[in-house]
Amino acid sequence: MATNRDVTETEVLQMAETLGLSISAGDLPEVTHRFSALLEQLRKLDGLDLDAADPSAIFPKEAGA
Amino acid sequence: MSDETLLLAPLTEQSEAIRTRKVSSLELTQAYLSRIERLNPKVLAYITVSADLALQQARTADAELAAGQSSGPLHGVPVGVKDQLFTRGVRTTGGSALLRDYVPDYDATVISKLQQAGVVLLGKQNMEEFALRGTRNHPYGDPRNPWDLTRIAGHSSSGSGAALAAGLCAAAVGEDTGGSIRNPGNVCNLVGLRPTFGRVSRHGLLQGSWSMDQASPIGRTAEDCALMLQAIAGHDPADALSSAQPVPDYRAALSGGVRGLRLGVVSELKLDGSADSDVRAAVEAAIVALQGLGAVVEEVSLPLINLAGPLFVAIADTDAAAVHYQRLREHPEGFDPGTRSRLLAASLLPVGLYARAQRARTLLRNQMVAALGRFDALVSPMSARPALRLEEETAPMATKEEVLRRQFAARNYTTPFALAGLPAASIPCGFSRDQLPIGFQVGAAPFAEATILRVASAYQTVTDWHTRRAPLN
Repeated sequence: MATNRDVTETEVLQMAETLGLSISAGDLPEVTHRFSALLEQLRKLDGLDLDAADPSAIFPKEAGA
Repeated sequence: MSDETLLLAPLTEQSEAIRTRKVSSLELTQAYLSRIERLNPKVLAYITVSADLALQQARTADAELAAGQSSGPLHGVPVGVKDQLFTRGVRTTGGSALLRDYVPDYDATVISKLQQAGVVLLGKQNMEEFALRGTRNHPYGDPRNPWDLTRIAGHSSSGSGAALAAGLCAAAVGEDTGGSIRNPGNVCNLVGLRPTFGRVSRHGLLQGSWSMDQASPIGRTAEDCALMLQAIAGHDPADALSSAQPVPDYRAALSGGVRGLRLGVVSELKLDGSADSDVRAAVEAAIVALQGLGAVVEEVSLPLINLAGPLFVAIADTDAAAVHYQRLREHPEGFDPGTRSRLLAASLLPVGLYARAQRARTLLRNQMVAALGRFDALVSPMSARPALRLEEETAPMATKEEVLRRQFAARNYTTPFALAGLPAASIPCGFSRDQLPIGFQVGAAPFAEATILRVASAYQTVTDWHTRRAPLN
């Protein structure tokens, strides 16, 4: 489940730091907007029965068939 | 060649002219190189023009023909490829300044297959950085749409679309992760065909999303795309995910017509009042034309398609962030600002949410495949608007609302097929009042590229949109 509030620039910086990534002051607002928007969009998945599906990326009947 | 008409003709006509010796491959190649020299500064379609290689390949093609040897319909035909495909001895930048001097020591399988088919390689075509939509300042110049030089030529195989629409190659091979061959097709009046995942080898293709990247042909007609796909499709031991399914004769499938074919118009992608009225009218007219040809058209509801944009960003952007993780850590300044912010945001996504997105992707795929059990093909618009102005596409994302508008809803048209691993194509179907091309989309079941080409070909027998050329000279 994703958080139901926007993340802050400080939180974004902290998360990036744990990954060894640096975000410049110039990039920070846009990265924060993008990440907040993605989390908001992924909340739409909360209404789905996701346990009924495997997390597939490749569909066996196609690849390597 | 003083007359450049042939340069703007379908690949099939150029092929026939070479075969019947009305023109030599060398003459055609020289004419293209001359036109590239004149027009590429306007459209910025090529990053690298491989003139010496092209001339050498053309001479070889002519010598083989003189000796009675032909590799088939692509023999001696000059084409271009997106600068995402590795070319031995020819630099491959991926549209990034970070790879400005990178020269691969091997060819992508697609390049090898094209060479076996006898093509002449004119050069490497411009693209958004690492095939990610949203490049602010292309390091090799912003590709321009030949129909209106103030507008984009699509994303991310923009150079391939621009080159073809400007008459700077006979056909091209680009790549489609979430719509990157169909979008240039849509805005440049071309047919862009994304094959089924696994239909074309990814070996030697700069990676974006490992489960969606597909090298893809783009051409002026359905038949041109059929010939290009024929050349590059097939199993490749170097790509563990490539399919061993037999490759059909795509050209032979073109003449089937659409009488009795069941076409499902996707309800969720129908354009409402907020869409451009010219686009809406053109797509509706295309569907009517297909009905007139005997297709059985019904609406089909695929509610999960509304999740495609977010699922694509969650999965494809995260995959790309993983690909570029080391570069992002060590050389963040080397990326374009638009690419960098996109990759940095995706880097932060928790793996639990990524897995949830993959689960939802399975549900979406199941829904689409079930519908394709009832319909031979799915039909939808390609977008709600014609080509955007460059500044609209490249402006920074100043608010979260802007991200939501530009990053997610606009992606619902093309990304469902990519997420589901299904083939789909953009097909020219009209022009806006500003003379900007409009396309519609046809998608089909796994490995049913022939069905898509059949629909496109039938449509092109009763319409002439695809015969119009950009006013560029």
